[in-house]
Amino acid sequence: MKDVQLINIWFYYSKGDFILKGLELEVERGELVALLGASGCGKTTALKVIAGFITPQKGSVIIRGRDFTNVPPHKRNIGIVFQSYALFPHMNVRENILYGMRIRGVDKSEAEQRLDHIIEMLGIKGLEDRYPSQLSGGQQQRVALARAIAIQPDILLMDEPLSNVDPKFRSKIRFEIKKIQKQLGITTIYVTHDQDDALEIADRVAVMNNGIIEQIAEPFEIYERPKTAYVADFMGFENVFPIELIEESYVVVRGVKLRVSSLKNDGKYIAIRSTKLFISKEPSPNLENISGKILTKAFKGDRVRYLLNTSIGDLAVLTQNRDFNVGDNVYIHYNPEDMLILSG
Amino acid sequence: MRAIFYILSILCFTFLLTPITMPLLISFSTLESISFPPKGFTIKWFANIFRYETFTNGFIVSSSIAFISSLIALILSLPSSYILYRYKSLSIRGLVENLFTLPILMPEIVLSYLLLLFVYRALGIVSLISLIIGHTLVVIPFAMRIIYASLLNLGGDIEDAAVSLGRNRLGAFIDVVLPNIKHGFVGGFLTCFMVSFNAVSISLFLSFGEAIPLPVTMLNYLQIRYDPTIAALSTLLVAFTVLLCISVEKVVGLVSGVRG
Repeated sequence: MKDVQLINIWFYYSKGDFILKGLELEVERGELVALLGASGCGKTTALKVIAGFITPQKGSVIIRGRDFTNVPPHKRNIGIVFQSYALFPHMNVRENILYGMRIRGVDKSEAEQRLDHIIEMLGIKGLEDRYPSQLSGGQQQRVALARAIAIQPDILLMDEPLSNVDPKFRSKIRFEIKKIQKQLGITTIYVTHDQDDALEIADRVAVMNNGIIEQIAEPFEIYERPKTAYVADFMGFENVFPIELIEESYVVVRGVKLRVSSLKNDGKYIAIRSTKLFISKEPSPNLENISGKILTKAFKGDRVRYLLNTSIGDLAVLTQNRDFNVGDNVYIHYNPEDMLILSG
Repeated sequence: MRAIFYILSILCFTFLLTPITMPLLISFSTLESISFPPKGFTIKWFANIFRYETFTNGFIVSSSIAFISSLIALILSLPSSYILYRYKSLSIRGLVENLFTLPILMPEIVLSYLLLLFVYRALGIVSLISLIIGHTLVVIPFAMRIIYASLLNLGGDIEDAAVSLGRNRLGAFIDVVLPNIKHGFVGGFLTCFMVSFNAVSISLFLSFGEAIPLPVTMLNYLQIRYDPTIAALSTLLVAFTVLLCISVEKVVGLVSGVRG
């Protein structure tokens, strides 16, 4: 069953300057979809459209089969965890969590019961009487999540919930959010600009660019097989080049023929990860070779990152081989299966 | 380095505070005219203040004007600063912001003169009402700044949070925005009150008939008699202002409130 359907959403703040350009999205019940994209791609705007804070000029917002496009936000049953947490400073933790239930007229004893259950589940027992200013960032975040799920929303929206969390704890918190999300079976849309964040937490990742979703797929799929140059770049493909010509078993990039394993006729770019390239002094007889000269060498812990000037452009190589130095003339080779063809 | 800093601070404070201590010393002097050094000790000048009805009247007029104009300024500032706070991309944003801060840029004496021409001569509005209009104009930038600052401190999301939890816009504003800017309100009120109370030239230009604000009665008195009564009154006013300042500081922190 589909809990959220965005159909051809167009939205602008100032006329002519569209932020969402025909956005389409479908989210299944109980699914966690991450909206991933750089700032300005429209992901937060998409969230606001779902929440109802803004009304799209064109398109429909369908929630659980019902058209909510013109329903004001307070009449939608949607829980939101804000990036700033947005806890009410003049209410303590208990009052914050009870607020939504009180507004919705949830029976007092029922509300208290839910409160206890949620406090238990999120591990914020003992903090009930504290005010937001007396909580750590992590605790505030839990309270924000508690407040959002206390109303038993149809959908949970999370806007960059980890951006104020110390990188050391992010993985742990992602795991906890995911656990609670699955436990409640709550349909969740999670906005982030962080690739790790999206890949680790989501059932499906939707990469947004320029007001539309460029690709939506399971984390592994989108990581391994991005379809566009933008998605490839977001997924950490450092080497992306435009294709000039497609021949039978190779593509031409800047006049250089590169062998590929599978061909798509609509291919516009090729992409290969820096970890899938190898360097040697001599050309390899079995693999495809590109000649080049080392421009920079950077130490990256157990690996070395080389930047090379080659006939197809600058190439980044991440390898365990430390033997090469700046200025060396070398050969780079690759396995044709690792060379991806992108269609846009 | 530290020593130099202390010495400089002491010099600055001496420079700033000496003129304020002068009336304090003179107000207890037994001499019949304002002169330095003072002689003897008496409180008859303080008693004299209350014998003179125009002073008590002036105080009541000034306080009422300050009270009413501060209140009006706050009521006008709330919706406009709220608009600036909620609609960051509003096209008339600059206009609203300038409109409300413009009076602070205009020399008070010029403003006073313009108001005299416009409010009194052209519109024929007299005395108390013209005084209230003038004082409201003078204090509105302060009210606006302080309320806007307290809204900004609040962050933009809590109203949306309340809405997402099922409250309508107005209810959300009442439930979660208002309670969190009440400090701004109190601080803004006290600041406006002080500014209005001390706005001499506006009072001077716009007061006619019965409603004469305190600063004007003091000037009038000085033109006729040159005894330490005015010094005594000044002492009381300094005490009054200090008390107000302390209460502002207690409520919001004057510095943070004004700087915003």
